[in-house]
Amino acid sequence: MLFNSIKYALFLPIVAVLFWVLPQRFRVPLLLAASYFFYMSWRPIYIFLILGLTIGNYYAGLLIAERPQAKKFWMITAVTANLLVLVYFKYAYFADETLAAMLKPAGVTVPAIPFEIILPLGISFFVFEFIHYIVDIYRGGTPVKSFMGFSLFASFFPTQIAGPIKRYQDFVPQFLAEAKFSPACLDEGVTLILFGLFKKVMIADNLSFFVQGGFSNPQLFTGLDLWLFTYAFAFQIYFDFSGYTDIARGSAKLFGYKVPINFNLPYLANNMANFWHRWHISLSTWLRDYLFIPLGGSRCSKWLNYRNLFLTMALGGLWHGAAAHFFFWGVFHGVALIVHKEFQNVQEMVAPLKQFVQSKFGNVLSVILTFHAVCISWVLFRAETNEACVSILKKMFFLEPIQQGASMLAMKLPEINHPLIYPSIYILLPLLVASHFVMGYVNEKKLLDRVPKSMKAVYCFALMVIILAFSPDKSPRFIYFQF
Amino acid sequence: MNFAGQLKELVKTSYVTWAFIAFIACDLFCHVAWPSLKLDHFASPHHSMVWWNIDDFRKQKENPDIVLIGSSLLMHALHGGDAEYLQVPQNEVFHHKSVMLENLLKEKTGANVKTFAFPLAGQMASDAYALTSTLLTGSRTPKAIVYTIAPRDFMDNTLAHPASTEIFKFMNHLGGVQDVAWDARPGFLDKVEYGLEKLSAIYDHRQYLVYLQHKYAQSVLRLMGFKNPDEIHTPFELRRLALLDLPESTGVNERFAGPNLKYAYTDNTAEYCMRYQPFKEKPFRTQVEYLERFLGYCKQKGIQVVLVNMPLLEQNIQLLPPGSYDLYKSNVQQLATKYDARFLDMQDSTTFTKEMYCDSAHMNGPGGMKFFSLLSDKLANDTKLAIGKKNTWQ
Repeated sequence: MLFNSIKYALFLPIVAVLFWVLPQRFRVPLLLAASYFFYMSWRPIYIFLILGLTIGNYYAGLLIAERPQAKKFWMITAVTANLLVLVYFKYAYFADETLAAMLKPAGVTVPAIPFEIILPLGISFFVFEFIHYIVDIYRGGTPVKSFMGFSLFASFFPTQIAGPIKRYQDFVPQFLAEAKFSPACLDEGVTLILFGLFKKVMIADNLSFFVQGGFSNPQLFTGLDLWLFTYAFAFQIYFDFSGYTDIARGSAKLFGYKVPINFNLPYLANNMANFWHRWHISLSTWLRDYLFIPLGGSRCSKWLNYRNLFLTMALGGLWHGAAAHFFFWGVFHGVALIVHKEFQNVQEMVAPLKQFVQSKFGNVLSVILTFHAVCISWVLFRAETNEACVSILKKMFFLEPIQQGASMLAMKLPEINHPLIYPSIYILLPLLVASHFVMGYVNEKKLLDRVPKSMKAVYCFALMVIILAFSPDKSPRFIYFQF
Repeated sequence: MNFAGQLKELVKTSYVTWAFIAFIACDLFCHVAWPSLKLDHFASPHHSMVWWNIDDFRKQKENPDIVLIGSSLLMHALHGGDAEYLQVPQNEVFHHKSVMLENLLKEKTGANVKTFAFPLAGQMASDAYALTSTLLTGSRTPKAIVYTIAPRDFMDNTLAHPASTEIFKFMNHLGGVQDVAWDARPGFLDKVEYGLEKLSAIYDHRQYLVYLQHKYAQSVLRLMGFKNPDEIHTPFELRRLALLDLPESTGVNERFAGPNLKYAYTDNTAEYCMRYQPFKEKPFRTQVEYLERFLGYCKQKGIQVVLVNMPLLEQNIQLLPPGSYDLYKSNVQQLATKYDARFLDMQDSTTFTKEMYCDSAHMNGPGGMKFFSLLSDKLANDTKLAIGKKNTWQ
């Protein structure tokens, strides 16, 4: 059941109305039933997977809390079991193929997996939530006593498929406490849903047609064209994923619940570390708390710190998918974070450089450089094959031989006039860049808090009309559903 | 606080509620205002082959005597046949008549017969009914319809439901097929979507609104040197991708049928296996019912109908589930008899040999010429048809 489908448009209001009509004691069971129904609408059999993991982690949590002498054993057992499930469903083919490729030169044939493994939707997200729960209980947290409450934490339908990755300490108390309907929740929830839908169907979906053309056929385009496709993908993935997150947060808000934010204008980041404070925040904080810090974090030698950064980001890349390009995407970010750290060290030694970086111009330059570094990483993320990725990057950096008589600045894109998104891209991309800066200013000055309700009503009304009238008949899936 | 009190509070304090009320008011206003604005329901942001075909039909000054209706089987025969016959390439976007059939009927009967063709890929029996009952009505009623049919028009497993085709949607949008609009959508969600269209004037007119959006965007882009949107200058690889995700658009410079082509044969058995197998009784019966509706409509309007069973290669017929070809033919024949329509069975593997096909179903240029030559013979010599009674058309 996609968020941008008629099914969800029927499902959500029905569940929300029932939620507020029913007495408090029926609300958690209702949400749990709705969440399982939501999950089963995709592939019913996998309900046993989520149920099995829920039961296992629930009892593991209790065991860790109740048996302090064996808590390490139970923690390791539970985390390993969760990871094994994730590895089996997500990385079995990848491991098999990688092993086969590695052993081939030695003449060893590794048989292919003889059966089909279908990746369960949302597994990367709910497994990370389970691991967080187990580790936090091990660190002294209080386990959730209510089985139903714990089940809902893991399966809550707005965040079930692609996060944000929740923390049980923040989330569980919300639905165990008595909720009272408030018009503010309705306002905030519906506004977030409408804005999320707008981002998804009006911006990301339209950009996807453009991006698909370039990344599927890089041989048709020049380096400058490919930069435009890459910029477009940067905005597509941002609007797609942040649109999804807004709908998820808005849906949760309709029940009076808060789930964490995931984005904070990431392309305004002025360095790579700052980018990860603004991009997929619930994942980056998870990686920090449950991977980077257990590895030793930054309270160690410089080289160990760099190793930890590198490993965290490389594994974070692999979390996105079982493919080499996701691993290299993570590696790129790991290296970029190390470079940033080194650059910070250099700045400390060279005072004029520090002054320049902290100046207004230096900041703008930093934002531009960071954005371009992120864009290069998006090529690794989006390219359809490794060969295509190398070819795109070579073209973007003008490393491919240019035909005699051809200009380095030649472009093929202006010749293309269909679909309309191709010629429109020259208007759309600057608008999207401008929107980022405008939103940055609005957030900085907290202007949204001062907007009168009547203006907010006009804004919602406009979104309702736009979404209803201009949504495409066919909408691609949210990008992060595949993870 | 009781429910009424909560509702009152909501209306008083919630800006989303205000927006929703404003939206309903706006939608109601649109319900009232749209009819007086006389919007062009034909306006579409995407110029598909269906759109070009109907656009051409609207522009016809004279009413056609014979209307040819059919799927891609007719399309290939018509364009390829006329290209071979005239030895001139035919632009498929604008070519909507059979010059060859007109000339041959003139030779054989002396009558100046004017034809118009609706050769639309993927057309089902339900589409034929939608098209006929929507467009061929009032002053636009032809004297005869030659409806070229084949088993795929009745059993295509790639079709979700009758209302899911572009032709059906377009006819529905033009105000047609209201009598079957509900039944043509068997799924709950399809009915919900249709209900939403009827409920919300904004949603119902979204095609027109998107058309306006495109129109104004194009005006802005023209200032930047944007080329004529009816001509498409996009590499084939990108066109193919666009067709997967976006509504079909065809440029006026994109589809030509040429004479004297070296016709390569394409093996399309995998595609037809998927379409034919397994045999599904219910969709087949539904399409037969639409054929009956079509015949009933034509009889009521006094339109003579000629049902032409299109020739296929034996290997295509062999892909059909056992017994289904006979079932298809017997059903069509029974209905033809019931509604006084003619049934011409052109299936003849000795006349239509493999050299006359591009694949197991679609004829090439020479095949098209052969087909129209035989069709003109049969029409001219059939005394039960007005055209066969020599000069009774004028």
